[in-house]
Amino acid sequence: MTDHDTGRSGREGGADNTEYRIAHLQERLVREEVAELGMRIESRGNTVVVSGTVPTAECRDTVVRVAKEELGGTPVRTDIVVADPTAPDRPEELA
Amino acid sequence: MIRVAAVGDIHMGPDSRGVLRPAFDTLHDCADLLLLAGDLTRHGTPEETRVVAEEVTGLRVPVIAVLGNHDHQDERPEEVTAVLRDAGVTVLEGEGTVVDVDGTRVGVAGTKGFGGGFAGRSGGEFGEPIMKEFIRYTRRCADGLRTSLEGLDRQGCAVRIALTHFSPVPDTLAGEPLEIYPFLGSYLLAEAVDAAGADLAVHGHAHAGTEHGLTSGGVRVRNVAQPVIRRAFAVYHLEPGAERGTGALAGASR
Repeated sequence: MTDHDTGRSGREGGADNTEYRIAHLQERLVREEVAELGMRIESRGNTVVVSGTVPTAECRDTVVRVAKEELGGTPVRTDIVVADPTAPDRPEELA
Repeated sequence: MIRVAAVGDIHMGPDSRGVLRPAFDTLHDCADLLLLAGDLTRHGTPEETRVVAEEVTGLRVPVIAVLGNHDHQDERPEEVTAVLRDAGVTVLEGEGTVVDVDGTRVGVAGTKGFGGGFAGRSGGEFGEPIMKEFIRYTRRCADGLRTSLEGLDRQGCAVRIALTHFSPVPDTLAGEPLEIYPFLGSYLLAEAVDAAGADLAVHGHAHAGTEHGLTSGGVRVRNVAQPVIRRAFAVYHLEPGAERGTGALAGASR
């Protein structure tokens, strides 16, 4: 880890380790009300990026809230799309 | 021509009540049947399933579904299935169903499927009991798919479709991290499709994947996870009697 300065507050390699925090965020998103397995959560520079597609705006709000809670002081950037519920404008011909 | 509408991974809950209904109400104009490729709910609760049921009740096209892993989360898949069946949905697990489209018999064989990975990079039935059971479970799903596709052939279906939640091929996973491919599907499903033959294989599960793929036997595969198709559903037009992957060898020789 490059972030050993912020990782020294008592539990090295534990709760303050970004890699483990990302893993814990992923677990929490699955466990909690959104049951979201489809988010991509990656460390980029000194931020964490959360991206993916969710079924509703409420789900997006929950993912953003949980990410900010779980990642504490680490800056979080989100790029989360709400799935489009409109009918398609054309079919695909497979013949 | 047979018009197949399909979507998976709609992940409905109380906050998505009615979201898909306006699009689904247009289905009878553009499709002959609707396939639901699993993960219809978030946790597989009866309450969430009732939201799904309301979206599809009374549609003027037959609705055929498989469950996904999310629909198993609450460990009540029988109740999820019962709520969907009460809403008129045909729920498949290791079985097939036949839809008559203007005199053409269209067969759909379905299983949730499971993981294990893809040829040359897959888990095996070896070691700890839980590891053996992992792969055996996938194998049972794949066997059910093959047997149902074969049954549909014997029933004279001019078009046969394999419907799964997990992916039969890695092609449609492109965009997902390589490390999680073994949790996204299994080659055993593709082998079943190629052995029995089919005109199309439809799956969901891989939200970051891509829509288009092909089994090694030449059967077209489509990942219809809603985040992938970015619409309420996708529509595929199939010509009865067109070429199909009738067995891996036939496919490979084309």
